Amino acid sequence: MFDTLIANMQIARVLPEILLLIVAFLAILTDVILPRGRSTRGVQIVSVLGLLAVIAVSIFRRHDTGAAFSGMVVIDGYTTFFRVLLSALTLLVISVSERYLEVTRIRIAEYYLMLLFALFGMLLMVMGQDLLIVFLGIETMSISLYALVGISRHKHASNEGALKYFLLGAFTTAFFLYGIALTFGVTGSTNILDITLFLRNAGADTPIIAWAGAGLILIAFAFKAALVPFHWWSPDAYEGAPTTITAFMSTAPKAAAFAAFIRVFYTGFETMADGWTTILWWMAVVTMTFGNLLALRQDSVKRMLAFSSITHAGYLVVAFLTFGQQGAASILFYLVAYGIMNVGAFLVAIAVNRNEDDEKGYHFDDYRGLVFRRPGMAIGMLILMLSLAGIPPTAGFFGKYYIFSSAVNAGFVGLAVIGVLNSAVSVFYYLRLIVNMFLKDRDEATEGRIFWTGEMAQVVLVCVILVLLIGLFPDTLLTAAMGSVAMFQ
Amino acid sequence: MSLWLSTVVFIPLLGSLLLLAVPGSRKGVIRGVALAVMVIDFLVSLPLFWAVDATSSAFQFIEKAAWIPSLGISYHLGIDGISLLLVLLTTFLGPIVVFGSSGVTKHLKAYFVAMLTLQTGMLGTFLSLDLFLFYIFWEVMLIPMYFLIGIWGGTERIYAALKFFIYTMVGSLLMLVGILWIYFNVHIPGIGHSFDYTLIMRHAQFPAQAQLWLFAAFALAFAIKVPMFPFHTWLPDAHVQAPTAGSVILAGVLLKMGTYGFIRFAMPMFPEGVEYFKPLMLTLAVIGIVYGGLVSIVQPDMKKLVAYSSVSHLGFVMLGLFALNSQAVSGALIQMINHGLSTGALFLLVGVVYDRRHTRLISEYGGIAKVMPWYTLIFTVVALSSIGMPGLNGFVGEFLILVGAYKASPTAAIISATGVILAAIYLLWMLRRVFYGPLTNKANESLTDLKPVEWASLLPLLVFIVWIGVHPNTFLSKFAVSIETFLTQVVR
Repeated sequence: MFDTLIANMQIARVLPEILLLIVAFLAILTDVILPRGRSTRGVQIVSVLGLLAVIAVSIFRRHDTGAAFSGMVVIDGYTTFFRVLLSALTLLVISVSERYLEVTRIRIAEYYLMLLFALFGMLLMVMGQDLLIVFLGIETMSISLYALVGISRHKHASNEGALKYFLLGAFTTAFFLYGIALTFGVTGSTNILDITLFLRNAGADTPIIAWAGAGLILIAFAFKAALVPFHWWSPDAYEGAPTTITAFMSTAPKAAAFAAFIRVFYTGFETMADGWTTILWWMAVVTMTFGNLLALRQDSVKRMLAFSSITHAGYLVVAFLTFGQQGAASILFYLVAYGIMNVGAFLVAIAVNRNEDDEKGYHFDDYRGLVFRRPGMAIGMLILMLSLAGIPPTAGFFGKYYIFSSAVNAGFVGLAVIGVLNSAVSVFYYLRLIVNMFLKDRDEATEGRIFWTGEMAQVVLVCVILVLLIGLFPDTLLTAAMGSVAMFQ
Repeated sequence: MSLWLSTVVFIPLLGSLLLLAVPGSRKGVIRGVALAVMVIDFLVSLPLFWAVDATSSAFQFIEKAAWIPSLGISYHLGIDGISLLLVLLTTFLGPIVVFGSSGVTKHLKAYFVAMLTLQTGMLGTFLSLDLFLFYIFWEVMLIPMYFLIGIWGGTERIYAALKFFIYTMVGSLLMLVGILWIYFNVHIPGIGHSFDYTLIMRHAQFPAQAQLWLFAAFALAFAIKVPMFPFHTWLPDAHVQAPTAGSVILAGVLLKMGTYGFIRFAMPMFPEGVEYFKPLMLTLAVIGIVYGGLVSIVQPDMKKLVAYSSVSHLGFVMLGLFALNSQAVSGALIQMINHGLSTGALFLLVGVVYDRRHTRLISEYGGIAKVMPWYTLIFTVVALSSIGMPGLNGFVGEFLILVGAYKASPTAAIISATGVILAAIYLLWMLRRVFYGPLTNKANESLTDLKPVEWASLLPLLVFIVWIGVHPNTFLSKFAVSIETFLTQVVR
């Protein structure tokens, strides 16, 4: 009895997660051991090395697939894909945070610890094959993020953002739990595979309660992925959070939310897929459009990038509602592309920011004539902006291309047209930055010091090279994304 | 597999990488390298003129290699009689725009890097036989042109560059959706979905209703680029703000990509769409001809006058294409080349006095024939060619187009013929006000005549302006067969 229980745990399959927890605890120890003032650097180094190990283990053990913990979680190509992506994004953010923490005087090691725990939560989300595990993952991630948003204790905006995020997040939790409860009430299980079986047998007689349950879960995901009209927490949270955290929040947790979203709806509620198309169609349209309208009006680069991330989530919904393998693969591809280019862009924004006080900084004017001050940096930012705007030959272009291609393939031509028009609108605000960097002259009277560390330069360079490489030779990533979603029929 | 076409396409890009290695302060070296790259590219492409078999309408020197196999996208180039002259026009204008850039001093290295990248984008667009590859080249080209206008342009350059970018982007994104639709609705035996233009032409049968939508999506992208009335409003802004060489490229090559798009993609792929939209397209073409001419008359600025005259001249090209008979289409094709030569030359000529006086207002000049006799002579010849005087190139194109158009629609032809008269009015009137009469403005007394570098940029253009006018058959014969094939594809 006990032996089979152990055997069903398949503990080796969750080695990366175990390793991640060990790293997190080592990081806590490091913080305690090292003297104050120097401890953050130590914690950072431990985290970076640990994350590299997590990525390596995930890749080396990618062939050991199957369920673990009696079917509570599942390790497959999909899990591996997101393990690597999410750990890598966290790694990118952690590796450039030290200098930012110093400047903004948030020198507390908990910053790194929270990021590691958030990553742990995200990994649970993507591997969860049971709604309860997904729920645990979401909560672990969210609680860490609430703390991270509010980590600049002395800033009003940071506190406000954290509070709003927390309150609305608590609502989301309730929605999600109630959704699970209803689903359990109908199907008798919280396991995604069992739910699928039940719903398949029910066929056309799917009880209304099951629809209600799935609907509540959908709303919860929409909250986490900041889809309109469930995005209201995001402007304040994005703005109040330290910029490195904004970069993180607009990429990794969004990716994790979509990963779990796909797993739950493409497998668990698969038979109901068609029922959600209309709602998701409208959600995609308003998310893309609304994000754009908000981003157009910003004078702060940080807010522009944050709001445009809503638009990018809208593109993902376009692919999501096709409920097909290609759609899922295009989401995976886009999440990689978007993660890379967005983190890169935020880093440059941090470097150029003239005013250390977030609430007044990040103005477009700070970029005037940047190409004459820092040509390399300006050209890097140019490529990142072109990629965000979806202009070839960049990763962003291929990501969008692949998304709209899956939409056209599934017959959503109208939605694809709305999508590309939104993409054209987004060119306005991305070009605005390019105009400032390249077409306007320097304004030496007002320009501030650029802080640009070797770490940041390296990470931005890596992002730029990846954006171009994926743009010119997308085949490897496409094949990987396609292989990772093979289990969705 | 011959790599000839790839070589032609990528020499400029390699050249731009080479330029990056040159220190920015060595301006002479930078100009030299840019010129050398353009000349080499022209020389490499020139033998194509004889090598391409004009008795066949098939694509030649085909290169095909898998690029993104999982999406069915290939690197696929080929040339035929229709693209041949446009490719040669592009490479021919290459060295000329380097000469025409003698007035540029700011950020010279970046300028030529953009110029060379642009050249690769344009050549790739004319040679792509894979719809996806075509789209990539078409879009990539936007960026260097955006910077050419935006950095080296006039005072309103930022606005003009943005307008240029957004207009083109909106049109081309809708075309992208069209391309995607084609991909998923084409079933090539043994291959399945495909972006391959030759395969699509051979196997695809699109439903009539779909053809209307597809034609509309493609036509919008191309009509913006041409630009057809009423999508022309970006053009005067872009032209006036762009540096001289930028205007030459814009008029000479970029606008042709729109008309090329029609003749290569939109029309042969969707004959039902052509049938349905033909009256509308003819009407817009005629409106463009007359409107462009009328607006040109009242322009106080020489460059703006030439820019609006482009709207009129490109209207002729569109009229020819949609008249759908061999004379009109031949005329349209040769008119594409003519416009590249004549309007390119006009922009260079306007640039000559602009470099000296920093104004392009007609009212600032008058009687400068006395101080710049050679300049006056050349300007007059080019203006006459643009008007369509027999013996020069413009006449050949416009005559063929009008004859062909008369067969298709006498009304359209008769109204369009007024465009020729309007051209005579606006150009001759400008000539009179700028060159003849008394030399009233003292600032003009010290104007110097053409410099060697200006001669170098203008003479080659003049040679072809006369050559096409005297013996057009050298060129017409190159695409005659291709046009017959084109007509069988479009007219059922």
